Amino acid sequence: MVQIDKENCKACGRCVAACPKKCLALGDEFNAMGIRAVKYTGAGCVSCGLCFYNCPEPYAIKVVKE
Amino acid sequence: MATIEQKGMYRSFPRSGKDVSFTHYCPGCGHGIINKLIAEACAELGLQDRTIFVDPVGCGVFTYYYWDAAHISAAHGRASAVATGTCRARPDAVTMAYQGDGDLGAIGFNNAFQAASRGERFGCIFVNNSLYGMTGGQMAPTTLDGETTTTTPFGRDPALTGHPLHVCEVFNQLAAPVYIARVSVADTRRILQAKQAIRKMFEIERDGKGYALLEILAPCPTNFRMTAEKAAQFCITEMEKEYPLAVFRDVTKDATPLVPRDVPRAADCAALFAEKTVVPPAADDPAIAEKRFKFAGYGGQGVLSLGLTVAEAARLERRHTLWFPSYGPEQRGGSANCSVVVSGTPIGSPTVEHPDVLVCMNQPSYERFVGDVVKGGTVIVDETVPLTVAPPEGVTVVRWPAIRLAEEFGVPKAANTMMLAALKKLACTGLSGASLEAALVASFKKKPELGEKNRELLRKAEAREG
Amino acid sequence: MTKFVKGNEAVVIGALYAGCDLYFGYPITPASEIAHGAAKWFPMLGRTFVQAECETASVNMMFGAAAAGKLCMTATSGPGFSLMQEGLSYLAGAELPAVVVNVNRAGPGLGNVYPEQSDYTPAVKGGGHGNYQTFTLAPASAQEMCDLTIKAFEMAAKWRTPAVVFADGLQGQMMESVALPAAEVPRPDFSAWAAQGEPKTRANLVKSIFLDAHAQEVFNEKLQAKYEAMRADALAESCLADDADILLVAFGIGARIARTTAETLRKQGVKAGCFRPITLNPFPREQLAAAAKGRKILSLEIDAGQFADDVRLNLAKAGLGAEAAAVKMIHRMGGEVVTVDDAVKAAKELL
Repeated sequence: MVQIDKENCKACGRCVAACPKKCLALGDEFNAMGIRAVKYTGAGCVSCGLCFYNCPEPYAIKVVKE
Repeated sequence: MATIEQKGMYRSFPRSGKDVSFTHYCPGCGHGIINKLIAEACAELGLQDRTIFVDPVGCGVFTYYYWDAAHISAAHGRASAVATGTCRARPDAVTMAYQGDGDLGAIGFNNAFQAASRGERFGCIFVNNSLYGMTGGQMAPTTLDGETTTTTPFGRDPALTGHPLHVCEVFNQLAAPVYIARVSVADTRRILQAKQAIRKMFEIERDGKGYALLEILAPCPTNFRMTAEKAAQFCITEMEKEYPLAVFRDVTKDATPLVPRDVPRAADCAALFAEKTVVPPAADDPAIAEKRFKFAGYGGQGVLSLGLTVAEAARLERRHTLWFPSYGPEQRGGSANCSVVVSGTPIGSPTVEHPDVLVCMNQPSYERFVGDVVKGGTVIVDETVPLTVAPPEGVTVVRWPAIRLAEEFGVPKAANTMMLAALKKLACTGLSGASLEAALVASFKKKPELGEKNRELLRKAEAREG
Repeated sequence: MTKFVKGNEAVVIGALYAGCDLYFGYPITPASEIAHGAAKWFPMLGRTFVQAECETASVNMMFGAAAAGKLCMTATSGPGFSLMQEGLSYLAGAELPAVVVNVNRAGPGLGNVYPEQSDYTPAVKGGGHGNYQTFTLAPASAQEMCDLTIKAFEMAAKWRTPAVVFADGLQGQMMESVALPAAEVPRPDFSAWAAQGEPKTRANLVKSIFLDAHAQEVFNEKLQAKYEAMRADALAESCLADDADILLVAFGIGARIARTTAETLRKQGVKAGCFRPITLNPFPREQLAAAAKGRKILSLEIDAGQFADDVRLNLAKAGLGAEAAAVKMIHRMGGEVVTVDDAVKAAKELL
């Protein structure tokens, strides 16, 4: 399951484009830097981790496999 | 319950001045993706303790905020030279240089190219985002034809700036590199390919296989003036036309690192610099006045070694002494001369302005120096030299058949030894005949038989009357 | 045990005794024999010799080796020394020990290969960017080419700074007897800060960047405090100076000429003495003031007067304004060397 740390997200959208299940989207909450971080839509994540590898930030995304 | 998360980076980045855990990279920056892959490979291979990163100046300058390993921050363009020094100093370390297309492609190109040609044991990860990121989007050697940058506002014009530089292809002309490849981080498939290539770079340096270059195409949304997604597309559709992704060379499987040939070794400095004949240091004797010599002639007439022999003789008699040549272009077959000073006390000025003894093997040196000889001084001139200039008052001039005698005795190169015989015969050096002879023989220490031959010639010449 | 060697060779002997493990260099006359000696003797002792592609590469290779905790050196002459100024600024900015031997030749531009002292300003004041200096020593004999190279490594390690051995073409080529040092200097341990590729140095970072202006100023103040403290290691020598009416001030090969000049003047009834800085930076200000107080001063040098200006500056800083203003100079340039005859004449004109 994908876990987004919105404080470390810069909303570049690479993960949104890369997610094969299209289950990521720009959120509506602003982080401390005033950026509308990406959000998990809540369904469809297969924990493939492609979002993590497309993301330029080390600690914006973590994927925990059940 | 496996997780996919960052490995090999500090958990937060205090070195940035703010204890945050996001990077300084712009949204969608290719450096960010590459930084993560490098840290991951270093950690997964267990190399963090052994790795020394050499960081560039450019967008990659702050990698020491992130990678949990030792760092050396190099001057702009010099990372490949710095990495050369590091891997030579610590051959067991994994030295990994990180450079941009300005850092390596422009200012640092010769350092990088020469390091690759020498086969230095470090990896060079070269990020090509087709422009200068950190300094504000200027043209780099890798900027595409027609690409707009802050220094090609009307689009790069090959008529003015030449064409994009293909670094991998150029480095592929070199014999030494063991791995040269170009990858990209523009989309998932390419990122996973880059991940393997970066891991391979660490394996190559872990195993000391040799020099490896990995070029990585990276999007720069800010200076491309595009969204992260469009910038990534630009990397694929435009940059890959100019810079095709490929493994240009991979000989790592059977690459056995070159081992330097054996050279003679010495245990320590004392052994290295020991000499067979031990010459004790000079002993002060104020009673012995300073005596100044000038030996002059054509390069190749042996005037420099004649001076050296007199200096060596002085050392055998524990006198202070120095020798120095007129060095420089005229040394090559032109006029050559050397100065020798011998004294009972430490010598001040080494320049022989007014020689006590002048030895000339040719006319130009006689004419040039005879006027400087001190009153009471001696000039020894080969008999072939016409005395076109009268010596100063009180200076004796002796004509001596040095060249003729050397030919008569069948060793033309020994003309300088014949001059040494004159110096001995005239007893004008202040040094004993025995010291002069011993110094002459010692000067042939590499060819003892030649030393004995010259001793014999010296005695024959001295025995001659007249 | 003594060896009769060129000054250039004595430099390599000193460096090896000092524990220098790596030589990086680009060939240039009149420093050639340093490269030749290093190319032969470093490998014979299992140490590293690398011929670099240019002097910019040499000084940055030194940066990489020093940052990895090893003593290293290069040798060059004016044109190469110019190319190394950026690297010297980085070495000072990252507080790295390293030794550059500059065998000064006539300039500017291509000039020729004969001796000059005209690289004085970059060698002593720092020729690169930023508020930095190098520890700079000036040998005046083949023995000192060996001993002051050892001293340079000692000072570089002690103060974590680049050190410059400031010689000239004549000294490089001149052969004199050199007594070999008694023992080799043990290797210093730089693992507290160096990046050595081992577990205990994993957190080490060698850099000269301080993004934050305040932090950069604090660092600059630390550097300036180091340079002030370095003054305790200033070295100088004087001869025949106690009762001198006129003091010849000179360094390096100039000091050899000055001593013969003083001896010649003494024989002609003129009380002349000499003062010789052995370290050019830190300048031996107090020693100079003690020797110069109340005396006429003639600086003897092979440049356009850079050294004389530093003599005046240091005398003024030592409160001897009158002596500073009255400093006279005899100098030659272009590879010509001051003659004893001219120096004797110039000294007499001062009386």
